Amino acid sequence: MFAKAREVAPEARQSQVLKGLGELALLSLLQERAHYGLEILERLRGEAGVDLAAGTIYPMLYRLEKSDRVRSHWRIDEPGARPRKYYTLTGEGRRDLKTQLGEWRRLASVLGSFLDRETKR
Amino acid sequence: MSSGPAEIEEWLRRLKWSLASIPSPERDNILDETRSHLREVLSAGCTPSTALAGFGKAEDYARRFVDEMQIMGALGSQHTGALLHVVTSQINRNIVATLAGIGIAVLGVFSFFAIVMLIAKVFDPVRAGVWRYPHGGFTIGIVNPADATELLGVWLYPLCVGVLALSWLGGRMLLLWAVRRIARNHGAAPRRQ
Repeated sequence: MFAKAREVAPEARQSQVLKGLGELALLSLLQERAHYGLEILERLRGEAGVDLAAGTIYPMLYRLEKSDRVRSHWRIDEPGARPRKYYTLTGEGRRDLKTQLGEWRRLASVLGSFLDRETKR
Repeated sequence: MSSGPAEIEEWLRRLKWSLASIPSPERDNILDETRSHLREVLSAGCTPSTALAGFGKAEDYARRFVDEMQIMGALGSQHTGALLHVVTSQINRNIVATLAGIGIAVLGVFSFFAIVMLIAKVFDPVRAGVWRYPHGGFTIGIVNPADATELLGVWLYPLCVGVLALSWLGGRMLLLWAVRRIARNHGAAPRRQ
């Protein structure tokens, strides 16, 4: 049982570390331009290494929209194509992104210095 | 919209059923977006099972939206009933909700006892109160006055009202704290498909 627990531990650890960062990465992505759900998933996986599941990203977008940090609209990109729901950042979302980014940078800097203390000696 | 593979349609049917507590336009929006995502993934060559694996069970997926709606609604309105609903609906799957539930239950017992004592004091003022026995023991309740001495008299009324007021205020603060904690921790954890 413990051997099995050790097997899944790295993934669980990564999941814990990434918890919360998904939202920051998502807000940062939407700052560029409007994105739809699948596009967000693929870019976060490919570019940010944040491996969110489809079942995670849409409730997150729903929460962000409910809290007025993103807004959405349906759009047909080209004639005959399927409609897609695009998300854009609101003013509130930009302010929140700025706050979260500041907190993340401060934490990353402090934690980075702490973790590197052995190599500096 | 036209139908997709049977497995997908069955999953979407269960999703729609599980989203029943969300108002219709919002529910339809969630369903349309999920359907749009699944179709796009299928047209890219994914199998229905792989496409659905990213969402998990329809009931679990729907519960995330329902939870979000309840939490945001409760924090927006700050109504005690809405806050209590969030805590009770998560009591068996969230440690903060469990602790808050225990706290609320304790405060509920205090409140119930205060109400019982208030009613007893109104209808039986001679026997209801805080009593001290000759041998030194104390009792709060209805006793035979011949065996004990009453300590509070009419001060029992403000004491009970105070207990009720403090329980109410404490309960609301506890609920607000719990729902805020639940909301903060509710950000979905990333996981692999």
